[in-house]
Amino acid sequence: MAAHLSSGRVNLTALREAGRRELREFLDKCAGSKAIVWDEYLTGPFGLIAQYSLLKEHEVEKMFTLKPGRLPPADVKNIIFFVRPKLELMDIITDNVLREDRGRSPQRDFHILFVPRRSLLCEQWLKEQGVLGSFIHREQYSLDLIPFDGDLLSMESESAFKECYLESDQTSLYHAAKGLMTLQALYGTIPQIFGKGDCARHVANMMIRMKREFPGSQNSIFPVFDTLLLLDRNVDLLTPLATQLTYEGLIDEIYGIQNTYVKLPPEKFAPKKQGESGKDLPTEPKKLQLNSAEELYAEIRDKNFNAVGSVLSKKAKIISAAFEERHHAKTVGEIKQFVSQLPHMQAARSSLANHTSIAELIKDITTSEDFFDNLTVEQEFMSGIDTDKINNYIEDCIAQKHPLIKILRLVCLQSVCNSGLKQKVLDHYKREILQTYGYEHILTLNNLEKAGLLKPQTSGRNNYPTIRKTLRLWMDDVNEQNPNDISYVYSGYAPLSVRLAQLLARPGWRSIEEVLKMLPGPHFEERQQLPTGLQKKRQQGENRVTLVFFLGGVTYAEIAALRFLSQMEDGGTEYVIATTKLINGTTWIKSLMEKLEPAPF
Amino acid sequence: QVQQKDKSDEEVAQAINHKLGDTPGISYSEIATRAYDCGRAELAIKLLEYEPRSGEQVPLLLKMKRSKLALGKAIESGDTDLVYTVVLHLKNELNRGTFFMTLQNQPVALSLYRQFCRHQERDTLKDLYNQDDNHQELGNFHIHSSYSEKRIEGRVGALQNALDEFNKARNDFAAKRHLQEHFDKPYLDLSLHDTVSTLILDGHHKRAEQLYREFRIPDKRCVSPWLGGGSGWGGGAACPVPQRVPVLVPRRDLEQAAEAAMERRSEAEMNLVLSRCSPSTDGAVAEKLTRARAQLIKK
Repeated sequence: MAAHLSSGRVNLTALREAGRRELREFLDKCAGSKAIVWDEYLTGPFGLIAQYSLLKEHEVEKMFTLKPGRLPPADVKNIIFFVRPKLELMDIITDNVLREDRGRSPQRDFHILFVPRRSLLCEQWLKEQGVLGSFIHREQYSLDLIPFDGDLLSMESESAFKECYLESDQTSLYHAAKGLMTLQALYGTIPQIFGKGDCARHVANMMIRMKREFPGSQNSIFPVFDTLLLLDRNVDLLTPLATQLTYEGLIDEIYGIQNTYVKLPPEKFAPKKQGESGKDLPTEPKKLQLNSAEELYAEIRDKNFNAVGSVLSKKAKIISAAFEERHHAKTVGEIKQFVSQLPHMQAARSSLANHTSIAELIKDITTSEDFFDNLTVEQEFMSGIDTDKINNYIEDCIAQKHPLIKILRLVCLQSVCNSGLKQKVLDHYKREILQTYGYEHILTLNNLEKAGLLKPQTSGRNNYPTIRKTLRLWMDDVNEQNPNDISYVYSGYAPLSVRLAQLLARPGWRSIEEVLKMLPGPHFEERQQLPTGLQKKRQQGENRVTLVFFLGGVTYAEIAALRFLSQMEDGGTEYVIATTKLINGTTWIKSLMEKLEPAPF
Repeated sequence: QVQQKDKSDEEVAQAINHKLGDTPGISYSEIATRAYDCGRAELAIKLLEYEPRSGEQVPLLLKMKRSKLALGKAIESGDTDLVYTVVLHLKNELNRGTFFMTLQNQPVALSLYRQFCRHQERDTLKDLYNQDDNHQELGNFHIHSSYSEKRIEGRVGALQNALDEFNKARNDFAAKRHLQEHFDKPYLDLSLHDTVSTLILDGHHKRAEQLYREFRIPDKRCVSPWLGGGSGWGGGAACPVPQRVPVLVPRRDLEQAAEAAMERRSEAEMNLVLSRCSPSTDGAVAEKLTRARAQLIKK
């Protein structure tokens, strides 16, 4: 079941096991039958740690969603609230508790599990509402970094970017630091920490502080990670705005991947039975899990979409040939062997069918005129063309009232590639947007400015060309089929963040001091003491392991780029990726939008 | 050793630290509590300096009535929950003025408190921004509020407040924009075309431009032929599509619009302006218009 977690250089199964153990312990503490009332936000991430079957083993009989009003009837001894420490949720819990019929029998016991941390603030709030005493067990479940795949961890904190960069609320950074402490408790102290950005600095400071709080707890573990690289999202605001062009990136851009699951339009996935008419098409979206446990997916997920087709057709031939083998199987032994392979072959065939359908769906979009026009403009901006003028395509799209987020991504991309827009250009775009989509979006525009995504050019000079040239962000000679550089993930643009990681490994950041100064926030290096005897001695040819932590979000394309570096022959470094959230341009901008609906008269 | 009363607090604290160092398992907070219970508050606080766990340190500092120190330590730790706890403790302990002053000195605490108010006490948020003279944010605040106003007067009031704040913030762009309203109430019968042309010819370009912009004209490529008459628009992308579209004439320009309507001898325009006249405040204008209209009809 954990095949996808043990596939990488670092076995993340241990992390999940630790999570499961903690959950089991808590459930057992609340002895007897139980019902869990879920903060909806948590159900997705929890699913990656434990399935319902595990909960059932510990007498969880019912599950409800947290909402105001009276709790549904359920004949259980315990009601446990699984919630984030947010005051709004405390109000709902209070409502639930107060409305509980104390006369009923048997009486139900209440408990709270705070995820990821208990909160004095919340408990004080509950006390003031007079319900704190109603809870028997009040605990915390430190679910910070959730393993998504063998080399991928995410906190799935949707609001992290907004909180850190717009609201000066660094709560999620505190949780990131705690998550890193948990990681070090399992995998050993990380001897070297590099970082770029204010948030990175803050996290590093907290890590060093936290180490002092619990001295001696990490003594005996042989360090697995050599280096930790902390990167602020705002060091590279460009990358998430561009449309991702890897297979997995496109699935996320178009359909949205949630906690490794994707929901797809069902039409292409209807099983073709004999004599079935076209009327019985399923209406429920097709839900698929996407991770490295699926062989074919692991092979194609990080490829540029244009290179996927040939892999699929090759696979089709191999699988066809394998099935043909049954005609050649003559002896009982051969037939037996064939039959034993059957499940694996059927799985492979089903996998191929799914991904062929998905690829077809994606192709419909990528071959559309609109996609092409959009991509062209993106690439113009990223290669530095005409970033200082009002763009005709953007204007046309506004005039035709294309989806607002598409417009916002484009204007922000232009602004970032120009180090901010000239006041005239900025005002023009803002005016057009507010006229067309409504004045209520002015708050969103303010947020985008605060975040540095859509702002006036302050210094009068555009740094982007220098950064682009020094870091080789735009590569004309990109090879999508057999890439030799990370720029294949955006068909020409090398993600700035990944370039920084690449250069850190070799030859080091000294070589790009000047450019680093143009990017926001300090850059730094820290060393953590390892107990003597645990100094890592690397074998000949063994790669370093670097954990790259994106503070504010990371895209699948960047993950693909880092995996590419890991696989490079003389790379010397293998990467594990951690982030506050898996994002794409759309979800990212959405998180910065203020939703305002006028109250009805 | 805590009970040695002859040595100074500083020396005792140092001696204890020297003896124990950073040995795991020793809780400085326990020792500090004992010192406090023996009445040696200063010693207790010095001992707490050595306590690395802020989760222990801060609540004890609060208990020992060193709230400002507690705040500083909480912020240092990065544990925002701890900071919130101290901030709310301070809110109860201090009077409003002192409380706000204290926050002013600690920007991290101030930001967090603002976050708290955003969700729980929006009115306090306004006070905080006022204290800071942050007109930009006050403007945003009023816009946000306008969307929860259920009555049109409330909404207009909020938007007016927003305008005032943006003006103070010298945010010209937003100031122009605030006048646009997005309500579905059909107001009046006059075509957009006419009102705007009137305003242009009278030199009220800005106002005319605003009204144009409000109506999300879809086709950006056409330039109206009769625009050439006025003293120019600049930018000229928007094309006025002659149509019967509801128009809201801002009150301030009622008189000017009335003058224009009378000059133009447009009955339709006079009706428009008349319908916007409130009997209590615009009596004079209404009277003038009624008379002018009557004359027109006679002809």
